[in-house]
Amino acid sequence: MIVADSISKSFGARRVLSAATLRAPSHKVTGLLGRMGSGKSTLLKICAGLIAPDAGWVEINSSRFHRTRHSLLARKGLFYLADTDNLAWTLSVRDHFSELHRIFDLRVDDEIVTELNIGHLLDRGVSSLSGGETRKVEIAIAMARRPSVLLCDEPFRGADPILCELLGSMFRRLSVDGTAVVVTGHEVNQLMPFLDSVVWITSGTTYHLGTPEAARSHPAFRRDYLGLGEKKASA
Amino acid sequence: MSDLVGLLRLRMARAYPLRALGIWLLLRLFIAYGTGAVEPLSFELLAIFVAVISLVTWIDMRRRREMLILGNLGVAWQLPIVLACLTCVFLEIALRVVT
Repeated sequence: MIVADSISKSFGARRVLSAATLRAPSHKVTGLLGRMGSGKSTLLKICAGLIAPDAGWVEINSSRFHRTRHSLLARKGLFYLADTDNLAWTLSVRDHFSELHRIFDLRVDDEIVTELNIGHLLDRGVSSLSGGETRKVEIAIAMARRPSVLLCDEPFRGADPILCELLGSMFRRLSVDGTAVVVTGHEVNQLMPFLDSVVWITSGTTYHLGTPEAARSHPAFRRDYLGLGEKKASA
Repeated sequence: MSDLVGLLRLRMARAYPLRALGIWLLLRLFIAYGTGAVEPLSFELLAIFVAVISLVTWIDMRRRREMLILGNLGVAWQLPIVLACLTCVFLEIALRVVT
């Protein structure tokens, strides 16, 4: 489980987050949704220890941190997938799995390799992979890590519907195994079926809206994020 | 497991001292070309060497997109830079002993 509480962050004079909270329990997929520039990625990076918050704390598996760093949280079971640059360009796909094995003594399941159809990519360099192949390899590495918390920034961006379905099913599988999964994104129709709960981030703060169905029926969320008018909401 | 233990277990970590060696050789050749001699560095020049190697290693790590994977493997991205700097200092000490 990961909890981020009372998080505030400013960049210069611009306040991005003020008293934002994120609570993502184990065995659940939590969607962090909000408009562009609302602070989703910043909150995720703070949770991952990549950015220090001005105020607030992050708790992962009952350890609380006011200031921490990514590597320390990673050793505690967190895995962070940014929207780009998650893999080292000079290494092959197999090298990534080998490094994971050397550090955490974990191997990727053959079943995952087959399901994600990345067997033929293992000896290829990361720089030669397409966007979709890169995404599949990233999620395979995340699954091989068996993290207690997975933070995923816009995993569906640029992905075709079949890949979205595949990635979503992998998130579901991780959550069944006990991982607290947090995903962000704007592909609401693709994301919603895989989510257990929705957190809406707007005006620098967060609102826990509950299930996707509850979120869809929340008037302010419908109006200000989904862009559905009041007439449609009442229809 | 600390960051350092993690770094030493990684195969990709072997590249950092080698890259630092390359940068150090280039800097040394540049100085030798200018002065015409291989002399021990002053403290100020050594500090500049360390700063240049830190900067080049950081740029190289960004170019190779190694920061995030290192973090996810439990290794702070600053550590390879420290490793590169230590390599440079070690080489300078070795050169001083030899000459």
